[in-house]
Amino acid sequence: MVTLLASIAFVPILIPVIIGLVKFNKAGLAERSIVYLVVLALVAELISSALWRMEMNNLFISHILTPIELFLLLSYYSRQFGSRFRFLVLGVACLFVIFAIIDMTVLHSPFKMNALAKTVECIILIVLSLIVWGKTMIALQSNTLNSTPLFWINSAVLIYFSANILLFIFSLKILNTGELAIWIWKIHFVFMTIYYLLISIGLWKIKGGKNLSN
Amino acid sequence: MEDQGGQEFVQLVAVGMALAFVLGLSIVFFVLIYQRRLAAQKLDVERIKVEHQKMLIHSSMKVVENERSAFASNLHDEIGAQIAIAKISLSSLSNEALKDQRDETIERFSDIMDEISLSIRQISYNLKPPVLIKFGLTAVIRDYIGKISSQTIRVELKSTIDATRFSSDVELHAYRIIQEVFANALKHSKCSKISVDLNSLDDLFTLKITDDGIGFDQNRSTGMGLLNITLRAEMIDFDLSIESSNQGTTILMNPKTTVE
Repeated sequence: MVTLLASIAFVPILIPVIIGLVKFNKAGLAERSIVYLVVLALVAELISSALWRMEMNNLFISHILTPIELFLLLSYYSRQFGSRFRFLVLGVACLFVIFAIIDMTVLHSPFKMNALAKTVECIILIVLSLIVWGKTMIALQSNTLNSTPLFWINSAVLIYFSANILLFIFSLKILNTGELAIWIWKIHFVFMTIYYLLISIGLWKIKGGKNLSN
Repeated sequence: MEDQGGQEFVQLVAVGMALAFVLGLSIVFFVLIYQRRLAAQKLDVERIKVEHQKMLIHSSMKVVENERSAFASNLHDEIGAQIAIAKISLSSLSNEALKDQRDETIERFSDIMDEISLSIRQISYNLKPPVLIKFGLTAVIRDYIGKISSQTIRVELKSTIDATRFSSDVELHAYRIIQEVFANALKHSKCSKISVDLNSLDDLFTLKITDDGIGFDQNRSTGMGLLNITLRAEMIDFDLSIESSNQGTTILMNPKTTVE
């Protein structure tokens, strides 16, 4: 079962990668960061699976992926706001990258789960996605809210990171539970699949020209 | 024992994750539903606005047509008929048999010309009263009230704007509104008293017309009168409110820019 899970873990990511590449030319700068994100996530997933098969520690990948993931997501979100707020969001992204490097090199070992960084990332993204709902979505008085990429991508972020925040907080303890940890990671796999499916829909909704996310 | 503790912990985390997932999902649905409701409300408001505009346009066209009909009818029934009589009188002047009555015919012709002149003045007055042009709103209302007051209906005018002049559009439309309100009151309300209050407000005025008649149901009113009044009030940027009960009707007009 675990082998099967490891073998198919890349499939949910492959869907948005394909859609993202197909829609890349039509995508604005904001949506392109999401395409870069899914491509990077796919590469990271493939390397992780390969290392796992070779029975090597693959946790350092999460240390590298987390700040890049947050930076790309924040650069996507920064384009939803005015220039003042945009600089604030990008400032937070830069601070987080520095924090993640310190966490990986000084605070914790790169070969252990980056629980702290993942938790902080979750909090930042949950808060940001809620702000986006409040500021952008409600202000958009159109009947076609769910036809915008922002709706799907923001839904994906909110649902995935709020569902997994507990997992990341307690990840170090969960990893020590042996077989039980696999059970939790199966649940995580379900949420991850939903996350990438919602992102796929968001990328599919890219129509080109000037849209909300540009 | 430790395994059992670990299992309980993992189960707790799993339940927490599921709850957080449901919460996230609920927020998404809430935003979607809330936003759709907002959009639907906005659409409704837009639709009502469009319908209102359509109604006003229809009303304005109807008002213009009614005025044209009234004008045509006045020309035909009064001026036309009098000119026909004048023509007959003129023809009789050339008739040898009626030579003795020439002076009488000329006198009758002159009378007809006077009547024609009077009719033209009357039509002209109705189109735009000279009193309104020369002396303004209060004067023309006073003049109008003087004409319609009778033993059965008492009309009162209180004005604090006496000699104040407003733009010709404002004065004319306000006067037409008063005429329309009076016409409705006299025709339908069975009132015995009508009060008109004109009060100065900044550079404009407020107008209140009250009668003690039987009132009317605004929702069931289908006549052009109300639409005509609403349209004219809108044209001069006034808010119009109507309150009606079986104790009487009050019509209040305030400038739109005024914050009460």
